[in-house]
Amino acid sequence: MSFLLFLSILLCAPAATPPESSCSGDEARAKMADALYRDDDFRGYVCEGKKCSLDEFRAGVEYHQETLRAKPEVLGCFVEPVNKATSLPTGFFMLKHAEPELQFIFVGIGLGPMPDHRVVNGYEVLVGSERTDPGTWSDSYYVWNGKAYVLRNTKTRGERQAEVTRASR
Amino acid sequence: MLLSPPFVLPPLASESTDQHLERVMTVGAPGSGSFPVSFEMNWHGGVHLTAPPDGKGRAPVRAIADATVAFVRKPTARSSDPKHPLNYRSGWTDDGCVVLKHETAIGADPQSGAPTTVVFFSVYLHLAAVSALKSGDLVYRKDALGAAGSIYGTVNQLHLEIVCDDANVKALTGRQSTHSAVTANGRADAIYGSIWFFCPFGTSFYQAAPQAGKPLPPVAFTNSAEAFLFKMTFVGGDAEFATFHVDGNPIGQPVVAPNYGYGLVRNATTRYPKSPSAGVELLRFGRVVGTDPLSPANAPNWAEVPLATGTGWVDLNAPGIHRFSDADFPSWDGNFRHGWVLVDAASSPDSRSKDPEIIRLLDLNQDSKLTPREAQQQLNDPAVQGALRHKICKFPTEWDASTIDTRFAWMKTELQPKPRPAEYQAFHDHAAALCFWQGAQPGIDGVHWHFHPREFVRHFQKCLWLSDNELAQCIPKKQLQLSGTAFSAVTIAKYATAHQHASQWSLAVNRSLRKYLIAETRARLAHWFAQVFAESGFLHWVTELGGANASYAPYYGRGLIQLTHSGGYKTYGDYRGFPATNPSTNPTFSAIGWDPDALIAASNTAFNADNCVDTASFFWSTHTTPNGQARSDAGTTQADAFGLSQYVNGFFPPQVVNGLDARLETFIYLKYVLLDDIRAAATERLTFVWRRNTKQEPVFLPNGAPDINPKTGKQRMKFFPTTWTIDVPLDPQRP
Repeated sequence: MSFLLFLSILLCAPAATPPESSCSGDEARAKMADALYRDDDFRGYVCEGKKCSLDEFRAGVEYHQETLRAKPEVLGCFVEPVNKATSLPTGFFMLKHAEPELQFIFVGIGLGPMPDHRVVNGYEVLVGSERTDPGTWSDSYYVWNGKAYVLRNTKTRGERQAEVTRASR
Repeated sequence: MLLSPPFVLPPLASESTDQHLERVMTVGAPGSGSFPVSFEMNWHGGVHLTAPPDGKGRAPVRAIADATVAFVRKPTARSSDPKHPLNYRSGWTDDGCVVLKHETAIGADPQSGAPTTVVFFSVYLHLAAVSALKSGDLVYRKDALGAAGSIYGTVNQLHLEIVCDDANVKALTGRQSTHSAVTANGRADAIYGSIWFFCPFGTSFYQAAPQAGKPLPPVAFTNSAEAFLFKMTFVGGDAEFATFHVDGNPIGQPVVAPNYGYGLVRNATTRYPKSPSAGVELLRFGRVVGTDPLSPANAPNWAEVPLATGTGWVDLNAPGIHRFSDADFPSWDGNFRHGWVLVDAASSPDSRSKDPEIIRLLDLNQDSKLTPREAQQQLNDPAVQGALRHKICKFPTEWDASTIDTRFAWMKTELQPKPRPAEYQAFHDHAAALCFWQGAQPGIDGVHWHFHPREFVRHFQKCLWLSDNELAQCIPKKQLQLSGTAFSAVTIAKYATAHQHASQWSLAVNRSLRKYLIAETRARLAHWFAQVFAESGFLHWVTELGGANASYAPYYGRGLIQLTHSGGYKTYGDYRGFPATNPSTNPTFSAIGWDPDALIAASNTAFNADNCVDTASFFWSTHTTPNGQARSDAGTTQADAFGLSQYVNGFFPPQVVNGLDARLETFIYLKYVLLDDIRAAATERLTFVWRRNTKQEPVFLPNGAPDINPKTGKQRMKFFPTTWTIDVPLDPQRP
């Protein structure tokens, strides 16, 4: 009986509200959506080149969060369209004092921390991948320079492979 | 099989596909070149068509499909000698002739994948001019063969005939019996056109759509006295359901299921959540023909169908209901209106039809004695003409000089008054002058099967299963490609490479295009190929090179339109019902529970072709609304091709769309391969807005100062648009 009571309480409990200092917070999401709605290309992608309201735009994007630095914790929010074509915009925000601040918009297949979670200047290196033609992929690396994430370099994977090959000789 | 009429003209804006076909294939009046018999009941194995005006004169005669030239005869120079054998009856008859042998595919065995190949011949006679052709030459659909000529003094005429042998009538129609069998499902080695359901008597029809887990709604009707037939036809994005008595008379008014086709995957995902992919096949074909299992195997397929009064809901997947398609050349029984009937009159060497199937149609008073008057009256009846057009008849060819006396022996014994010897000789000489069969040696017996040519074209235009050769032709030889700030020509593929790719991919491509209703129209095919070729480098790239370092690794690109991101993989795996792998043995893909290296592609040489194509068609069907099929139906203009480019590569301004040059150029090229556009020049001019440089360029402010991003301190970069005009190469892909 007591177990059933516990279960019913659990089921009736409201879902935990995400902290406002995360990418899940309603206020943060609204601010990020507002910022991206103002970008012609991002809005054009989500709205398929047609006019659409901010509410429609908000319904067309999704958010995910990454930890850019562990201590003290710095969070990054990555905002992408729900409908993913083979190339898509990703809005990258850093949360500063719970305020999302747009760093840049990357257009490509995707943007995020490197799979091996490489760190430069205490922050995760971000890699944005793009396919400019069927056989050419390129990766753009963004590093924290103490003030902002800046593009360190862009290399095609062919170039990178050639570098690896040269280095191994 | 890609087929076109022998006269190719663009459709008028207001014209339906059927109306267009009727206009470009105007068949002679009954008794004057109609199929399969004349007023005198002589077998006539083809139809006489009048070449339509094309703005410059009369449309040339063109090959209806890719072929090898089996026979060519240049026309005899016109003579004014009244005794010339070609001056017979009311005037000159041209004897220019081309015979083409077509070998193509209409499907494949679902288990073995062996292609369902078919061989048939098209005969073009009474040509006044013949192109420079010789036996053994390869010709391609829409190639000009010559000019229509005269028949008994009437100009601009073409006798077109389509014939095949016993083995190929079975391959083409799926049977050798007179009528379709209804005791089991129809053929699965070819499925196209409408889907048919044979519903035995005693089936219940409900008043509303039954819901899972709820009591069945009240029964509206039970067909206790007779079997019914249902026909499901895809019309644009909808499906139309019609009900028939087995004699072909309709029951009630057709019911339209809106968005049935465009929403196929979404509907299947809702209705068959445990097996959406198999659900797509159930809704599309009426049965599951692929390898994905339906769960549960007896899942119902409720459809609203017309009844005599109102409509009812019936489970089209119920035991006892058998499923067919137009590929079965349905006839159901001898009375089914416009049903396809095989008429085997091979045993009679007579030029006249005495076949009971034909006689029954024409014998007005059904006294088993067909009079000339009855024949003439009935052959003018549109309903009878409709029935005759759907007879597939086996009888001796009209064009074998060695059988003339045998075939027309009756003239000397039965004709009243009997022809004088000179009259018969003049007839014989005329008939012999037009014969070619012995010289042609096309490789089939002189007694063979004949189809009504226009109905054959109409019927097989629904079958867009591509042979390896047809698919190879879809890959261009060369294109112009932007490099830096200039376009230059690049080789895409020589024929050997194109054919190799086609052989490797055709089964998977055809299966997928048929499943997702992309192979319903040639415009849908052209749009799909233009985008998939641009995405895959013409069927080369199926994995993302070096993707292991991408932020979304290990869920990097796989497939012809590449799946990426774990969410994309998860959605697709759920759709396909891929079996879960043990996370402990395959921890790399624990987030999705299946192994995309094994099930889609591990490399560009180790891949599952079916699944690589399926990812592309799944994306095409579901990415956004309207989906790829709906967007393809909008048209075949450059703007439509650009719209599909945005659909696939992202709704960006043109300069941001990657590979826009290849996407648009491929589409333009494919119009000449897949659609009925006639190649008039070696190139087609394309003017379009795209990036002016393949690399992003620095941005400057209006005052000329660099536009610096205050956060990064670096100058902003972007693609700048410009208007390009290029001449797209149309060089056909040929051996």
